[in-house]
Amino acid sequence: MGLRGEAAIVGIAEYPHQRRYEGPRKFTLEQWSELTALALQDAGLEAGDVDGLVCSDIRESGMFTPATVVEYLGQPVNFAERIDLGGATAVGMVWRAAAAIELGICDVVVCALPALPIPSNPNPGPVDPQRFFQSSSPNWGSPQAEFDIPYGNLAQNAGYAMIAQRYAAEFGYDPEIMAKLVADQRANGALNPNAAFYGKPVSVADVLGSKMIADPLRMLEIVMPVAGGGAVVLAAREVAERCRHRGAYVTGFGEHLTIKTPTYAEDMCRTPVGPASEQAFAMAGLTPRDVDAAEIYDCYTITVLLTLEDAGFCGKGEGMAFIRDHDLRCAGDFPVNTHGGQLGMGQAGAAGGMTQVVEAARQVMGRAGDRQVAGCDTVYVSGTGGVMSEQSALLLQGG
Amino acid sequence: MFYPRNRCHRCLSAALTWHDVSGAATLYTFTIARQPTSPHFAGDVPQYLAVVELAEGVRLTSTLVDVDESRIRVGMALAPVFEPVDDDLTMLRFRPA
Repeated sequence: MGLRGEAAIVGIAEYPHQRRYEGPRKFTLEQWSELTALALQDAGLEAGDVDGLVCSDIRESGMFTPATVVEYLGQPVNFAERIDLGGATAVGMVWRAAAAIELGICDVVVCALPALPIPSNPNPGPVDPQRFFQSSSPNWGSPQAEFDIPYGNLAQNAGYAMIAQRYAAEFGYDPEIMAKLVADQRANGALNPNAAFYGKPVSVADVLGSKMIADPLRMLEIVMPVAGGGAVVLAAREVAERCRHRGAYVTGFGEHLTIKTPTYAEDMCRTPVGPASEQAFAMAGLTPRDVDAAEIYDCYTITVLLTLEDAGFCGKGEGMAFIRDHDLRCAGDFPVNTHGGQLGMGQAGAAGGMTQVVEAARQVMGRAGDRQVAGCDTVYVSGTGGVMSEQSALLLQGG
Repeated sequence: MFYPRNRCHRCLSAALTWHDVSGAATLYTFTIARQPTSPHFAGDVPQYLAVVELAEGVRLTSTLVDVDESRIRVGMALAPVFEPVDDDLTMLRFRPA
């Protein structure tokens, strides 16, 4: 079952992530073409090589998104997808691109998630009510609109906090260890010029001293919104072998969706990344012990904790001890989020998950500079959308 | 099942009936939102957001009322509080039993 490992990420592009974006504003389509050009150039490929494309929402069109992007880029494609998996979108893009390449319907696929501010509209329409509800839907007929939003259970902070609180009751919880997780990741982010927190590490005391937002989650355990975005280009092996960098081959993936609101999860502490990761490891013929670095979707500290457990890096209930006992920094014994994660990069909306994909490819390519994990050949990546609603896993390996 | 659907969420059967519940419940989990979860709740912080498990096994979203925040514990016994909002709307909240 699954991929043969014949498609690789061969080019990457990433905007520097900034809390206050000071560059020129660009439409999503303009960012799409810019990121595509940069990623192709990085790979040593040309525009005409592109014959597949995976996108998500763009601000300029509510529908027919792939065709709109294709027309703007001027590159006809045999394969086009629009992915709606929140923070799991980037990983979802990559495995679909790899699958399409292995099917033989295309050779070079671009996946981009632009997230810089677009130019201000001089004639803005009415405010979209969705902006107040973030990941929750206030639409007519939406179960959340009827059963969850009226109680204030909406957006992300509350849901993740309630998962963390349940975890605490079942398995115990040490705020100092969660703060250590942030400090380790921010140490990695401090080395990353593309990170919003470049040169800005934090201490355990800083995290514990930050404001409580939704118990037990403190401000520094929650991602900061930023401008950013990134892209990757995937190619078939025969193309990958003539690209500029060592390919990061997609050897395994998984994706699992269960609920929209965690209230209705069968078990809040056993998350969809479990089955997704199990599939990914089985497909690649690997185990969690084979991984040289883990780029784990980190909207909140609790997401990393649960992913370490459910993906099998440690047992259920052992995540706290695992984080305490391992050095998660780039030169540590178990490198996690070597780019700083989104806690270090900042979160550029649903493009946040692309930072994990881009960094994983960078590590396999051996291009992570000060953050390079020695001998890095196998990297695990996860994506998380909604409130542990939809999760995905990826294994990238050198060819 | 909760919330109500037109088909069973396990087998998609349409042969569904309404059941009365006892009201006995426990706290599955909670958070205390110290920042409002949206501008609509700006006057309600701290919000005692709760996932409540009814004795019959289903879980639902609610909030806790009449509770000292330092005494909120996962697993605590809860009782329903029916809060009339207007002629058409009653909110189901919970207090310590």
